[in-house]
Amino acid sequence: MSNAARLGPILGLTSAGVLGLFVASFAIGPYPIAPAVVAQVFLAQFDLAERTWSEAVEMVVLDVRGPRIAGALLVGAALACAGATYQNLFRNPLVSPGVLGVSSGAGFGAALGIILGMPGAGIQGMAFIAGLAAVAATVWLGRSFHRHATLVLVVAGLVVSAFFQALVSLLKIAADPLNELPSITFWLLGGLNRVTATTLLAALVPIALAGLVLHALRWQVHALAAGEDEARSLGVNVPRVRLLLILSATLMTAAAVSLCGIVGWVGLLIPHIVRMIVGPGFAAVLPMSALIGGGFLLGMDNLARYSGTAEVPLGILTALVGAPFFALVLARTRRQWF
Amino acid sequence: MTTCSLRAEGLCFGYPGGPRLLDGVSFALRPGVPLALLGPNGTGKTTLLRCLLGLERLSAGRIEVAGRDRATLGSAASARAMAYVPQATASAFAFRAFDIVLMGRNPHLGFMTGPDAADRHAAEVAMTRLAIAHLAERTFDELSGGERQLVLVARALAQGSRILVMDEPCASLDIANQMRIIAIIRSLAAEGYSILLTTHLPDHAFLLAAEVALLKDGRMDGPAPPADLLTPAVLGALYGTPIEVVRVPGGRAQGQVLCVPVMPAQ
Repeated sequence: MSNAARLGPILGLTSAGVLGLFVASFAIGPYPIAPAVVAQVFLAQFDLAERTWSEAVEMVVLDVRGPRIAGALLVGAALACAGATYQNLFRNPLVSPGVLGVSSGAGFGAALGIILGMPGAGIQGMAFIAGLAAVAATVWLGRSFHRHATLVLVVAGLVVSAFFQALVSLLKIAADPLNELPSITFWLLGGLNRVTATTLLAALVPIALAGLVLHALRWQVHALAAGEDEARSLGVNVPRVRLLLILSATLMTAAAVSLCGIVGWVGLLIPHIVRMIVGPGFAAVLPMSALIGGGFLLGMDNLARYSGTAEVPLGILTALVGAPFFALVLARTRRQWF
Repeated sequence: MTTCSLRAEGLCFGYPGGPRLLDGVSFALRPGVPLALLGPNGTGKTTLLRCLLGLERLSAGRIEVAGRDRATLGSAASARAMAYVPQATASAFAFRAFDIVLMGRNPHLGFMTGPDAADRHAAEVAMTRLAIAHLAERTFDELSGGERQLVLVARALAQGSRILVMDEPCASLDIANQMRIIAIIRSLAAEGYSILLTTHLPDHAFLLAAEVALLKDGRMDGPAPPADLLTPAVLGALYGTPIEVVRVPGGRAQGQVLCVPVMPAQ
């Protein structure tokens, strides 16, 4: 009857699907591992299964493929949640971390961190600050031109994105061609092949923290869909909620970009697919975006790994699949969600 | 005289670079007596509502809600005291009617928790109260103007606030739906709600058995009973066009009052 009653089974089914994909993903690659073995390796970590496999299998599952697969889930979830948040916050179905320039900004921050020889946390911090600067610039530029136009914010994001991309190009010229330049180039293409347990954990902490804030605010964001004035009359502290949303979504994006570079389209596409399934309520859109976003990026990364010896960069694949899919979704969406 | 639930004292407001829309507006709103606010377009009726709701920052004046200074109330506390019913034409989005009514429970939600069974029950009660329970599963963009207005009133009832602020609740509704909304406002007032509404139809002030206040040039006349304030002379001056006030035989014993603009002779 109510949305909450309907949401339970949908979330359960989607979680089961993502879990299945997670286990199946270990079978992809030059050293395929059967889902049953994968499940047992994980169970054995909690002493729930007998070890009947080689050390090599355990190493591939836990140290090689595990971090990468978990990284795909984490980054997909983070970008989709950030995208859903930006879309609700600006009441604009055409924005995402990429469109608003946050990804480019964070990419520039991360690249600057690499050149300055910063440690992992420093690179993340730089990505966060530059991401915040980018979203602030986009919002300011959009407002100074026209306060409420949907497309103006998109164009402003384009401008800011182009600016940060130019800064990154400058950094590339200045970078050491032997060590720094390959690192930066990798960031720009986006990829999960260098994810380790350590970098995964470093990204998980800020993303989980930001996710918790978004979860706590989900009903306030839900009410924000009625418009700023109505939301305030419904008891939403709009300035505070807005600030927390921008900080959280940008932190998530920056952590994701620091882990695996710029991966586009997830944040734009996934929230639209999710709204087609569960409707526009943010309290349902947020957890579903995390699941579908994670599952989508894991699927894309599997495709990248499966595509042969010369791996196709993840960012190229998400664009190849995401762009036409988004066009299709946009053409089919006749609903006004905000 | 019953105690007032909302009191405004010396409210002053103007948008930057614009005229002073409110220039010392004072009035009190009482439970059971709806107050209809009349005034020509652009005189600041909606602005006054926005100030009362805390959406605009006053340049001077004080608003008391249930005996407390509005400025000291937090977002949720003031939403529990005062609910806003916007014009139904303002938004058209794809939420189900029930979910929109449930949004009224927002100021009652705890940290980290969503609406529970009690909140859903409150939303159901509000929809049943307005005889729109059958619309629960329909989405807002599928509803007619009258149905949308009722959904927004139900949201305000679910909010549990005893003060309702309505911005032209009858605007863009057909005549039957206008009468339906007026009957609902009367019965809500009879239940002890304090209701402030804006309208462009002076007749409605009579139909509501309400008090009426006129807003023009930043000043407020009233509140006063409609029969005292709404004379042809006052209405003519307010709107700048001749208006006749006539009594026609109506459903009630004393008949019904109509305010009719008179086309000036060429």
